[in-house]
Amino acid sequence: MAIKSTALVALVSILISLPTLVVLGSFFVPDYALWSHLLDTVFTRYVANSAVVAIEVAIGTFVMGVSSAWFIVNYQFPGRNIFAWALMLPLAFPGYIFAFFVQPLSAYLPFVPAREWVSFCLIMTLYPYVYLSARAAFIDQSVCALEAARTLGCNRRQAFLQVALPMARPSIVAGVTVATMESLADYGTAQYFGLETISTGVLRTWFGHYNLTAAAQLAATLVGAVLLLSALERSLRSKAKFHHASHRYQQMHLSWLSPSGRFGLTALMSFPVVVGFGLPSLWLIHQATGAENFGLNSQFFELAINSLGLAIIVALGLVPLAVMIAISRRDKPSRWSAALAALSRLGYATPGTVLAIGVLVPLVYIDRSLAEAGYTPLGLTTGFGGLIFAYFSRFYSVAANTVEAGLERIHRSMNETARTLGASSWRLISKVYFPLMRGSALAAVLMVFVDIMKELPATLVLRPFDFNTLAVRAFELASDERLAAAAAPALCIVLTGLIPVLYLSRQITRSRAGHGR
Amino acid sequence: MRLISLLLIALGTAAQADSVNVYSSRGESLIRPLFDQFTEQTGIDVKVLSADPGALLSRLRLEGSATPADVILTSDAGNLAAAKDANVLQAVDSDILESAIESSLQDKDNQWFGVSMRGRVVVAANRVDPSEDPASIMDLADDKYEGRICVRSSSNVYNQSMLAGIIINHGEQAAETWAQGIVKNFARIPEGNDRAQINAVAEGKCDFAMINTYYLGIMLSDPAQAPNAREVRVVFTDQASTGNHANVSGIAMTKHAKNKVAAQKLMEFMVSESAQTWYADDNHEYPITANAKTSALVKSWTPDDVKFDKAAVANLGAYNAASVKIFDRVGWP
Repeated sequence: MAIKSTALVALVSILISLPTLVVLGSFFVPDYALWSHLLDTVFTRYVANSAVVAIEVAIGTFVMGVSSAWFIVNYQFPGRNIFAWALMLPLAFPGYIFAFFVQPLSAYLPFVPAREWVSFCLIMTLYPYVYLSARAAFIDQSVCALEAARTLGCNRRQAFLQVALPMARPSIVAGVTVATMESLADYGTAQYFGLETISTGVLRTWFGHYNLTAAAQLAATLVGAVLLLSALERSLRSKAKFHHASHRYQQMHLSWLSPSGRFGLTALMSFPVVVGFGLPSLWLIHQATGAENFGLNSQFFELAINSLGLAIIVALGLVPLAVMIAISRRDKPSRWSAALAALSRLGYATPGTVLAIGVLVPLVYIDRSLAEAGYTPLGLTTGFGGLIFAYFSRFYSVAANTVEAGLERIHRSMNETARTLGASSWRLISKVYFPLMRGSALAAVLMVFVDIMKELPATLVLRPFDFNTLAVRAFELASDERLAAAAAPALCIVLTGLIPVLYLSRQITRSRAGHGR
Repeated sequence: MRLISLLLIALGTAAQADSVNVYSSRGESLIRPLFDQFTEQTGIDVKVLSADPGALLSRLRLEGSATPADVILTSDAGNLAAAKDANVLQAVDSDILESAIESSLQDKDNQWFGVSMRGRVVVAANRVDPSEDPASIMDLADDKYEGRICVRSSSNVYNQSMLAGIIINHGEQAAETWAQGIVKNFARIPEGNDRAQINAVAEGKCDFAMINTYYLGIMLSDPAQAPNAREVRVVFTDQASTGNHANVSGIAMTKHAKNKVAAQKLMEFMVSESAQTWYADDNHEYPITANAKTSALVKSWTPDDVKFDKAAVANLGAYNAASVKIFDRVGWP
């Protein structure tokens, strides 16, 4: 049983990693002719721009995400209950649409270089990942730990820096990792501002130089860098474990600030919501008024159903899978499973179009082999198989980071106690893990859902004939410079994204351990 | 017996209507109305997968004989030339295509056919004296245009095709010197798309920009964008020599097409009067057949005797990689 489940987890991990492995495998294709040209000309710029943007996004999302989560969880100020969910809203905004909104503003600040605009767009649309995971962690934290810190003479700042922040570290790192990886894989925003990054360079090498091998090799350098970073992060993290020692929870005491402090917080919290969501939404609505019937027509229902259906199916399939893998890995840790874990996350840092090729190669190979052996091909690439495969590979990291961070907050002793008391694996999962992980699992479902609603490059290449999503439609119209017509589907992405954001936000608040039960 | 077989045929066609699968690098929402016309006329269903042409070409190559695609439609003939080189197309012998399309706008081996044309032109701000307009695209590299030119990123295929055209007409060395000159003359680091360049000219950030004509058509027919579009005039360059650079969109049949008859019908439909009129009126492009007329809007900026560089069209794809290398070397982002 144990061996079987370990083997199954290994198999699933390898399947999820397969597209990325195909991309990494391109290193071994002996076709390096273009590299001397790339190294002589653009490679340094690609690496420098990608690195700076990634670092700025890591710092920016950390500061915005963690500070807003901390204030929401610990302080009382006007509008707090609204900001608790409103801070997530920018997540529903696709980066490539946000860039369209920001670009005209850049005219007023001509001295700000393109790179900073790209970082700005990415931080504003990606910080909710950090906010979401940090908030879930802060909510889960035992008040006792914080109160003990206060009793021991820490002031609020010290309690935050020395107790709350280290305890929430796994979740925060998970959120920052997701945001940084997404910024590395970003194509649309950098492309729009004319910034040369590794990701835009990959497509330029592929479509401009007509060299898929060199493009995949370039993508592999990106994936390799992420692999190194995550190995580094893991080795740093493995030395420290943060569990809740106490199982006593009580209602969080919200701090009241002076009136100026309160309204100061309100103003501070308004910034990301207004700039990351309010203004661009108004701008989209304004654009939509330029189109006939606001650009709404009968196709919208179909597009929305397609997007929602795909996002729900994949999110509900992927998150339980990530939970099972995470639990199995925790129960039977090994060097191999750690390596597989790192590998299976790389899809998120792989530019979507390149990942699509990584999906096509094995699927086409299976179908062609079947045809050559005289069997009927399965048509793996013409249906939804390829698309769903790509989503699993790309967004596994999002789900895994979030549920594993949630899992790390559960003390091992609980696990051992339940086992000692004779609980079966299933009972352990349903009675111990599930209730404790509900918050982080829901956060994972939400993140994957919203990511799929917005996903563009892999969807473009892998979707079946005559199947379109809101993101595909919005992007096609926007890149055809029909912004008025693109506004309606873009608003639709944002609006459909709102439903789960609002619903799950409430669930996360309620799932706080020791809350109302 | 005959009755039964007739009945079977009737049932067969009823149950399994003809269809044709299209890989399209033109957006599905853009091209769908045209395909709907085709379905109405012929009863043949058109299924579309729209994506980046490079990605679609890679998909075709990977899929080989298993490809579901019968037809590939691209916004740039260079992509079709690349597809031909990749050996994923097949020749189509059609009198209709042959007679409707002039020989410079179709492959000499009948593997691809142009279906519509756009000009990549210079736009100048109306406030700039027309005597400053460049006669040749090569002039834009002159010092007198320093700090006055807006153009989009060189990752865009239209810029790559334009430089490929310059390589064909003037050689690789001259093309590199030209690209260097343009970089020196940038009013700003390339950002945004063609529409953004037109806006930048209208708003005084630069005096000249290089754009595709059909974007101007879109802007002029949109009340919100028209004011900016009216601030610029179109300059066709190289009228006394090679002609202005032309972008040709085209269509081809895949090597392993399963619905060849329907595919050919669709290809032939693309040069019909109704399709060409759609390209002209709805999409602000230049029709390439004699049976349709340039729209009044497009005519408003196009002289009757305008000359396009059609001779270069079939070879643009061959020089695409060379042009990207030049862009990389001169630092045109």
